[in-house]
Amino acid sequence: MARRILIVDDEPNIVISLEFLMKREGYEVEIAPDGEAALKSLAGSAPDLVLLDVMLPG
Amino acid sequence: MNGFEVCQRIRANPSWRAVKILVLTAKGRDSEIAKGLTLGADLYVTKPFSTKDLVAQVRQLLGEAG
Repeated sequence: MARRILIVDDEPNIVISLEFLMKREGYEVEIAPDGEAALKSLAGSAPDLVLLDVMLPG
Repeated sequence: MNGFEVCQRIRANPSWRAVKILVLTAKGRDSEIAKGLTLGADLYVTKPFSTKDLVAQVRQLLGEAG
């Protein structure tokens, strides 16, 4: 089963490139534009890894 | 909620203990890196990053070879 990665970033350009990169490596990708969405996604189904941008808007 | 808080919230929940956290931060922000690691991040990568390095770090965290 493919490993799942949750990308948490508010910059669309970074999200697009990270998503492309991780999918190319065979990972399943979830996207969250902010912290709230990230926690909601985790509560639904926890990924194997979270790629987290610390400079999210407060 | 910033990334640090997300990190903290993930680590505060025992059912997410197995979730690896890779933090992306701007280059030269050493205090951010230290803070992220203290709050439970497994690894950090500074932006701008090389895609090759990032993939290698992800693979390492997930315990995959090569």
